[in-house]
Amino acid sequence: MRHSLLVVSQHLLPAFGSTVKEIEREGIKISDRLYSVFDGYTPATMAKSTGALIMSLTDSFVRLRPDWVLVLGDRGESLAAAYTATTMNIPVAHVQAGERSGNVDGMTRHAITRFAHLHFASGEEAAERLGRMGEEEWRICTVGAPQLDELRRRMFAPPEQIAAQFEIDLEQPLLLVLQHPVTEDFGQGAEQMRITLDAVCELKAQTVLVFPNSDAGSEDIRRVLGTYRLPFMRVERNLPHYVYAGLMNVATAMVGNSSSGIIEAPLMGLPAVNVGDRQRERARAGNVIDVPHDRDSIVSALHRAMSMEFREQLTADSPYLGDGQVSERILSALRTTAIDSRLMTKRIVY
Amino acid sequence: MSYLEALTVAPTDTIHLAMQKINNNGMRAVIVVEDATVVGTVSDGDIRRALLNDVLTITPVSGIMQLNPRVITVSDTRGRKDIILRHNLTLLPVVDATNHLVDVELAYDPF
Repeated sequence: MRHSLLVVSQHLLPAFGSTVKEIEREGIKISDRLYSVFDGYTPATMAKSTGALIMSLTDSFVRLRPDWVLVLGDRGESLAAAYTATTMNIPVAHVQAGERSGNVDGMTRHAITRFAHLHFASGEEAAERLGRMGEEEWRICTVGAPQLDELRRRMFAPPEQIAAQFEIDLEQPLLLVLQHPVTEDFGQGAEQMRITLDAVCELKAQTVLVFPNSDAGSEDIRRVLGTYRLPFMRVERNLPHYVYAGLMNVATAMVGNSSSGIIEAPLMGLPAVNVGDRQRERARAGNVIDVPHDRDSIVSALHRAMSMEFREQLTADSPYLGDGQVSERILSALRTTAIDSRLMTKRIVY
Repeated sequence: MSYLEALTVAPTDTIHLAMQKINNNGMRAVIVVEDATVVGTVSDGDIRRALLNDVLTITPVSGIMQLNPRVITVSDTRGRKDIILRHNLTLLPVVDATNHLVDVELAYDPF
């Protein structure tokens, strides 16, 4: 299927790891690079960035005249694309539709659903929710979670590569830290990160910490990260998924509030200590230990997560379907769905 | 500026300022310090790679600095030259137990 990839916002910024380079390295053709992120990382600059992106997307859509616009997840960028495409009468397909996240991203995902003509759900629970929201049954396709395809096929960096790249001793425990600022808790990100890092320091294990994204509050978190450096901690800007999954593969446990602890980690038998509310609405597997932003709670959860007993009773099961066929199902649906007035005229059916 | 000032920048300082300091310190790198803590290093090589990526010199160094710089604790006096040689460094920040910068070990005399 012919496709045009638009790489936007954070992916283009060195401060977030210039992940566009990862795409270029794969030899994937990029049609447009749309710069839209305002500096400051406050709620106001986040809102303005979305506006800037809509302006750029419009010109891209006029030039490319796509048959479908495919968006993913619950980010403002995806909402900008869904809104713009629908306004321009271009059908929108939405991957990872119908899930619940637990913060403002959840509202964004819900809004994207309203602007999307085809919904790709990662599992039964998400599909049912879309139906309850009033979306027509035939628009909902339960295909699975695409990122799990790669994990199922074990497409990630092997342990030797990870050990070399991050200077890790594979015989020793390894902790992975990923904590994002929570938009509703704006102003508390730094304190929350400090609490998590206090806890991590107690463990004195090899630690790899991945920088937060560009949401409002991320600057404060980075500042805390910078001043909290300890000899056993390695800080990385955004990592290619191939490498990140390789890290999950060798890690003893992960801690923070990333969705990967909820969605991907269970498939890899990786315990995840989930701190705070950012992922509160997502369905959980047995690998997740939920704790509040409190140092002692995080420390005891980490001890439990890293214990033999806990790790042994984990099954490599995710509540999100990922059998290696997810991408095929999405492509098939896009190829066979007729673009007609039935598709473009949305009805809400309660 | 004093020699110590020429060896350090803040994370919010621009790449341009880092280049000026590197120009003055003769060690082809600067140490990034925030609240007296070593948070990174920026070398001529880091700047070259950034320029090749079309990064502007008004960009803060926090966006391009090495996040995991090699440092040595003030109590470790014997391993310094060894680390400098093994990893081809021009300078090695010397820190105390809380990662505060207390000294800098230089690979050679810049004067």
